[in-house]
Amino acid sequence: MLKKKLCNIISLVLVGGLLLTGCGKQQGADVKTNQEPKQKIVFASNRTDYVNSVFVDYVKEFNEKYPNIEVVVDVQKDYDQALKIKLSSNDVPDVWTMFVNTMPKQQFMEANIPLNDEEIFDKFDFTHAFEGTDGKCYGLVQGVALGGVLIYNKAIFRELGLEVPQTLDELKTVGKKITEAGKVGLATSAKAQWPLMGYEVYTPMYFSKNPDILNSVASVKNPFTLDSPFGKSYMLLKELADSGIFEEDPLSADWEPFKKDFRDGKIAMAFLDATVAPQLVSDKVPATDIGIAPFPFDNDKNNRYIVYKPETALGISKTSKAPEAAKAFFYFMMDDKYVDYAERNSLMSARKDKTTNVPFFQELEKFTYEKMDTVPKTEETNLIVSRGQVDFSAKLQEVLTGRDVKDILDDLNKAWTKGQQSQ
Amino acid sequence: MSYSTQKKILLTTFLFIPMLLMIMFLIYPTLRMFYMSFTDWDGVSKTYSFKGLRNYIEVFKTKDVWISLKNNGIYMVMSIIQNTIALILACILVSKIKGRNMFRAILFLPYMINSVAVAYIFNFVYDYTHSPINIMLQNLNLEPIRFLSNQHTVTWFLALISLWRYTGYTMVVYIAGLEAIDKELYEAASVDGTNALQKFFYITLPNMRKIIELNLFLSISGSLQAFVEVLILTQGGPGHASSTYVTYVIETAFSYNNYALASAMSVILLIIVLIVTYIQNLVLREKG
Repeated sequence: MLKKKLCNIISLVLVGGLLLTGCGKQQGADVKTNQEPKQKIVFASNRTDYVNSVFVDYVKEFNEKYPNIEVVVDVQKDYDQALKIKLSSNDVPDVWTMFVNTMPKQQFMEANIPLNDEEIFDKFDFTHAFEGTDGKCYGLVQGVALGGVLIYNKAIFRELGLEVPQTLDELKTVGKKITEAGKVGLATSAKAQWPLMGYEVYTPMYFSKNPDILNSVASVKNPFTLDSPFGKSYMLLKELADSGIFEEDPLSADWEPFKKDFRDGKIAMAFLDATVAPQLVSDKVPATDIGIAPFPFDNDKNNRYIVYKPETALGISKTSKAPEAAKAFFYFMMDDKYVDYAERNSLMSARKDKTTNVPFFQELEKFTYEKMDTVPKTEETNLIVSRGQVDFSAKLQEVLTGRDVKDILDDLNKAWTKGQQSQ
Repeated sequence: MSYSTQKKILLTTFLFIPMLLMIMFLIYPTLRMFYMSFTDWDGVSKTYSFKGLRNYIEVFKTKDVWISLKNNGIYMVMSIIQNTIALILACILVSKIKGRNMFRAILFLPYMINSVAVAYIFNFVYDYTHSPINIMLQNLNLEPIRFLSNQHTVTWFLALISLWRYTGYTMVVYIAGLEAIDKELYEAASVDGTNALQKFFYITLPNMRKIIELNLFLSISGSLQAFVEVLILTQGGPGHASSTYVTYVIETAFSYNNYALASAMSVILLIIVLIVTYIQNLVLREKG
């Protein structure tokens, strides 16, 4: 009897132990120093792919300098959502990654300390991106991404003896030739919706020569007409779809297969941000074979733009229990590791005193283009979009289903009006 | 201490933790949801103001909500087809045919795979270029099917996944019901000279009323709440062609921060489920 009881207890303990084995922290790498840590800070990032590699090295290097600071790297796959919860429950990570346009200014003003008095502040451009309503800066930019560019596989162009298109007509003829050669001319990955953002965000800016185009229509009644920059963008997508240079069925083309196909040399061009280029490198398509050019949205070769947009920024929490340690790590990331991080992400430097060397930008010199700085969405625009649930990318998908562009624009106008009215 | 007091104390202590958990994680959030549906809370702000029935009115005025509800209608049609198929299969598999247990197991298998895995399986089956069905069609010189990119048919193909997945489960419930019917009834009917169809309509169906009611309730309320396949396979696309009511609620709350509106939509969903169940009960009761 006693034996049986003992047996039961042992098995219970074992089962309990087994259950608990799975309860370890799955995300986040704890890096401890040799000495007894005196201060602990949390660094939050969305880069799940860096948690077991780059960040481990960073923290190791940081700890060589500051052995008494323990850095807990907290990465979340669904970073935006996780952060929202943290911010609203006053559990702000000591140093955290910020995205342009994803949160109200009020929120990062409440969460962070202003950085204007920091000694590296003056070395930074794009400080307006994370400026609060009080004119102070609450996050410094980790690098500048080139947005709305044509990413192309140089090898395919070499192989077929083609030149990188610089006008819309060239894009269509070149794309057609590539499609006829059994490859994809211009990939959309339309099933995933967001890769269509080029036609949602960038081409309206290019057509209007105004990076602030969306904000500028915040109080306009029914701004989405056929001859507006937005209407022109939707028509451009339709024109390109009709010219047959996209995938066979763009709405079945997803993002992951796109990356695989690009790496296998089956895709010639894509209209995206330059930051995706590192994800497209493979043995078959080395970094030196990937080029970046301005997107030929019309037939005027001299009317080309590339959007320079601050990618992510780091901010320091106001409620940090170890403010000095947080600041030390912040400086480490924004000073010591600045170029390294930016280069890893194919970003241009947002610091006046540092430059990055990114292989994809080598051929960019060949093309003439104007630099366009992004303007973050205003609170008003954000509210219209969220209150009216204006879903631009879903509407772009509808263009590809063959729905009449005029009807689609009417839907957008209705949603826009609804957003305006609920202010 | 009297026996009854002891009993009460014991019951209360046993029930305390489950009740506390239920209040914390079910009752309080539900009541809070009702409360929030009358405000303009954006999910983040610490303050919000009361808007009365504005959210409810907005739900009914939104075109995409109606598209989503229409899509749920398609799921509902599929769930009725699913019940019919399941009942037929159950009637076949309850008889003494060879290998019936094996067939039962095979048909039940899809239900045991988790829904995310099922969605990924169908992501492959429905893929335009790699789908085995499309490869076969192309070999036969036929046009490949645009399973997930045709806005007119996408929801039907998504609802077909639910049908495939839940038919086995519904069938098992029917089999349990069928096996509980007294065999003597059938024997007596045979003596009276009835045929198989008469037996089905006059013995099987009336005896199965409760089970059919349960299964219909499960599948119809399930079809009103369908979202996993949509979320993983199409995210409601192309456009909003395949979004269901729940995916639209998710989008409203998490993509646009309209938590108050999403709460109102959830309350409406609850009411719709209650109404549909009530109508279904009325219909079945009349027939019974």
